[in-house]
Amino acid sequence: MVAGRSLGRAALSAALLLGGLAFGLFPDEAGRIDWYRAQIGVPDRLLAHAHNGTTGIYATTEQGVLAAVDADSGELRWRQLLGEHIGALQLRGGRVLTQSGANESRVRVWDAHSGSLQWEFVQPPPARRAAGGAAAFVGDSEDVVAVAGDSLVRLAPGRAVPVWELRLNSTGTYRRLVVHGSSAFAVGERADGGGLRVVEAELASGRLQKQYDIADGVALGTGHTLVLDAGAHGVYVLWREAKSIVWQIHKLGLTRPLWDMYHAKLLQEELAPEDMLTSTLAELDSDSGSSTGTPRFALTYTKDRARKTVVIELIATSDRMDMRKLTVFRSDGAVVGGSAMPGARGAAVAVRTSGATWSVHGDGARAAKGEFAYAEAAHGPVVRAALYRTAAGSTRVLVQTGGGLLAALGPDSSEPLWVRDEALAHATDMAFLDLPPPASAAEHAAKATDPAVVTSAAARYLLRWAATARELGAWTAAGFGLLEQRDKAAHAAAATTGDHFGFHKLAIFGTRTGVVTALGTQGGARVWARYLAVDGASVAIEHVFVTRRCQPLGDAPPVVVVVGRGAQNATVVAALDALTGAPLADGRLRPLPFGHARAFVLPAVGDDGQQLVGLATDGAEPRLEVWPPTAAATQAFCAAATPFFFELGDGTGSMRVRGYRAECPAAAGTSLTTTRAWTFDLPEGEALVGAARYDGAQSTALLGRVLGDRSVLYKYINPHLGTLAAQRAGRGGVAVYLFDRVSGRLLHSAQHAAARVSAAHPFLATQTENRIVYQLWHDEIPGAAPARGYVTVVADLFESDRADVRDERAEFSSLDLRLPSVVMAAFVAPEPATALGTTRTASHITTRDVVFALSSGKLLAIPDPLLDPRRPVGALSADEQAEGLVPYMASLPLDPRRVLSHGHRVAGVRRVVSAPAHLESTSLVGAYGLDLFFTRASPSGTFDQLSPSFSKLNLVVTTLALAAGCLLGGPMVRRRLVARAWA
Amino acid sequence: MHVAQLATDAQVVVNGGEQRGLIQSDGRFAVDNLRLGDSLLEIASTNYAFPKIHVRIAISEEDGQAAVAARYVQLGSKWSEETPVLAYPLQIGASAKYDFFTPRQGFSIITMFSNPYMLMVGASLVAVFVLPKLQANMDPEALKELQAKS
Repeated sequence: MVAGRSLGRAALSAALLLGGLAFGLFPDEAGRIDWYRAQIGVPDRLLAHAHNGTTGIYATTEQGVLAAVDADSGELRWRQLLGEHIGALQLRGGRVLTQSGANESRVRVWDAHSGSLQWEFVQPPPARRAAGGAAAFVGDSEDVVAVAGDSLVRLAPGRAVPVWELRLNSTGTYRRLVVHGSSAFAVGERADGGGLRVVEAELASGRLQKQYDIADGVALGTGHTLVLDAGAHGVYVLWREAKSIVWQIHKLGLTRPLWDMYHAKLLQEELAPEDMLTSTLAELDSDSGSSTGTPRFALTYTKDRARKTVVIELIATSDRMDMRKLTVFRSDGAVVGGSAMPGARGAAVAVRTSGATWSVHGDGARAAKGEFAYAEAAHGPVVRAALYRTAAGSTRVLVQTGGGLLAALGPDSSEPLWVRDEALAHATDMAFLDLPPPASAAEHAAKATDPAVVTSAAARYLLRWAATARELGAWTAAGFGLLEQRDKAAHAAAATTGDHFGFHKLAIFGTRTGVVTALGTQGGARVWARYLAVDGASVAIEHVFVTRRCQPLGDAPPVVVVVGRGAQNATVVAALDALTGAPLADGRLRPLPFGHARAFVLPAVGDDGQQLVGLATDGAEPRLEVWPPTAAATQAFCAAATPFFFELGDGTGSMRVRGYRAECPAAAGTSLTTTRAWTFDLPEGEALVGAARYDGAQSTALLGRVLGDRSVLYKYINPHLGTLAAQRAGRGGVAVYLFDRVSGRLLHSAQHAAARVSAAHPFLATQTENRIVYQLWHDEIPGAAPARGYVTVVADLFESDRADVRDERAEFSSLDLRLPSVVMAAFVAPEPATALGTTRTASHITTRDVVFALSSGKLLAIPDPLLDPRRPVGALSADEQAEGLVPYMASLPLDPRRVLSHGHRVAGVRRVVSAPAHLESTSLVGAYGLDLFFTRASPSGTFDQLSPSFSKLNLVVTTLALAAGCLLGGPMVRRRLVARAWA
Repeated sequence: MHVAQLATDAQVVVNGGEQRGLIQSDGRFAVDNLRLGDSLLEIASTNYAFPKIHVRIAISEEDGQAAVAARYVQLGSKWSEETPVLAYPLQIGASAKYDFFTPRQGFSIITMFSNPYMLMVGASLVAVFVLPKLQANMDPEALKELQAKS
């Protein structure tokens, strides 16, 4: 009973605290202070489908997303996050069929209009290795056949078990499935890698009809094989074996015969054998089951350095199928694609990045061509093209670029009809750039009234007054919230100018697709984009560093440096103007002669005011390379920042973290040798599963924590603090180590015996000031077994466990450390999370919220007092009340008013970032992963702004009423005084 | 709440993401290959709160079949055996719809007049208009007495 009462008091106190702190979002602020972008990722499969008068584009992506996009506007209609590889996609009559999963195979049928799941079948993991994946509708019926796990199955809606199942016995990896007549054909690569295997099953019973091998040494999807459905005439496989100069054709279901297709006969052109070896095939109908009976394909070859593409039709003659050449066109430098529209006649579309043109071939009278406006430098070359027609019959060309842009083109306009920039779904790093504040009217006036320009003193006087009046008008407008609109309008014209409150910055992203993109944090408009490639291959960007900020009094542009990897893992570094994206060097990227293991900003500045970047190589003798690679930069670094320490080996699976000390070269050079400073060996049987460090530079406003009795508990602030999580292999459990990254010294460790880290349960952590917050899945929550769930652990580090005791030394050194006193508490998290972050404000006076990116798509901000590890269990003492502590409760609440993303589903968040605004109360918070979301948060409320409930109308009315009272009352009082004087 | 109101991408999450299931258009869902023992089942939805469910799968000693016992659980508390077992197959309804917003206060005469500024204005008007009238209605002798005192 007592426990019940104290729990009730704790709940009441927490509710009061939350009620006091929670300011929530006003409905009219949604979409005004935040923005959201739902993305799908770079597609690996695209199909168009028309149903009930509307056309949709259906895509599967590398990130395991199935999505439907409006074909006319490019807007996302719906998406499903399957989170696993999608192996098959087919559309029929308003239904979408997918097969997904590598181990556990799932076959699902979706409603094409709404994206709702109609029915599904799950095949448990096979005893032996997975056998590919494919799926196809059975004619116009509701049934489907699929390769699921290691079986060929026929499925029907409403049935939990297959109609029939044919074991494939791990004979191959089957990735094509065609239903023809009374048979289902599965085509795949043989298990021994020797070529293709065909399995024919009777559609009604699932009985094995035939099983045989074709196409020695050939794999599916390589440009050397093709499956063509000729309707009533059968299904054919085309292939060319390695070093063979003829194409071979086989009709599925017949073990023999095969026949050959000679280039000379087909192309009506003599080819040398080496020319024949260049020929490749491309599908023109992406959905083989929708062919009209005379399927078409494209054959591309090179002769005399000229590339040509031939559109060929498979036709039935009196005794057998034959090939007919329909058209031939030059395809130098073009990406050749085909029809993505089931039922459409196969035609080839050739899209050339150089010149930005497209043309359709083999479509008779409906052949078309056009140009398009396109910035290759921003999005990369076109890598995929497809053709479809809208419900109204208009020709559309869909192009996909190496950078991840998806654009729909039409013949009537060079401007794309719509674009979707999916590069940001692959963002790997991001940095904020503060923008220079807008020049005030007074500053403009000061320039305009320069005596050298305006000689008349009277004119200058009048101009200054006019400027002051304009400024006054602007600030009056600001008082009524009009300034924000004015600022928005101004930003549309000058996106690289900041605002008065520091809300508008540039968020510069680096992506795995090679694109660097800068977005404005207010509204999310793209300011610039740059595609980075070396020798035709995109650079997988890993790091984005702002190495020179905007300089109010200088002309030097701000600089962003991106570090990535090109081909063969070679390091590529590029410096860009952070306001325009223009390369600062000659613009041509070259790979560096090494591959980096770690990249970081060095604590030194070069002659040009740019912060230097360090690239550490791994191996037996790691080196530290300074970028820019000049002797002057290295000297500047050596003069300013040595000795310099860094660590390597904290990746997943590592059992030893190594610390190195960089040694400056005796002679001029850009490379520093290193000596091993320390090693941090994990206990035997443990391997790293996660690591964390401070996200950017840290600062603190309060050195200690003031307790209820006015004594101070001093914070242990170590800028070199690192966190490691290691999992024990045998007996399980996770150990978390806090260590110093310069000395390698262990500062604290915590054991979580029932915790487990896996791909589904990642280790998440965020470090700020003297606090580390991390989250671990627990198979048994300590003290509450058998309860399971995510546990959030908070550790606060103090200089001593006694108040008013502090380290009095004036300088901090990692080489002479004292151990911290650690206060820890654990809480049960409300939902699974995918990323953690902490809000940041300008002076760090405001309390910090920890932002949880939940897997349900919410960004939940948990206030600082609820994560305080000093929350006492039970009733509060007078000192604890005076300190403002909240009684401990095991669970962290999911308060919807603390959900920053409100109704948006921010999916697949990999990182939560934050930057301070100029207002101390306000922090910019962003989340990126599959989706993007940016907003403003005020963890302690908007204490430096007028209360949201403050009525400016009331103030004006009151002032006017007072003025009116004075005006009306004044004469009356004067009359009365005069009357009294005469009385 | 009808299942049609639930976003089509809502998912059933078991053991924090170890297994996931999708919800069909008729509201049915299935999660396969759950391990024996205790599991936590949650519905991941953006707009609706759902109760959390403890699922215990055990092999019956009598017939060797797997038996499922599901119970509602409270986050942060022990999973009690005394909680009533839910009917199987499970039927789960949303416990609440999230309200993410704080309503903004509209214009109100009462709020306006309870504003300190308005109270000041009111007091000033009373001082200007009402006090002289009170003074005029006072007994002249009492008035003189007051003036003499001041």
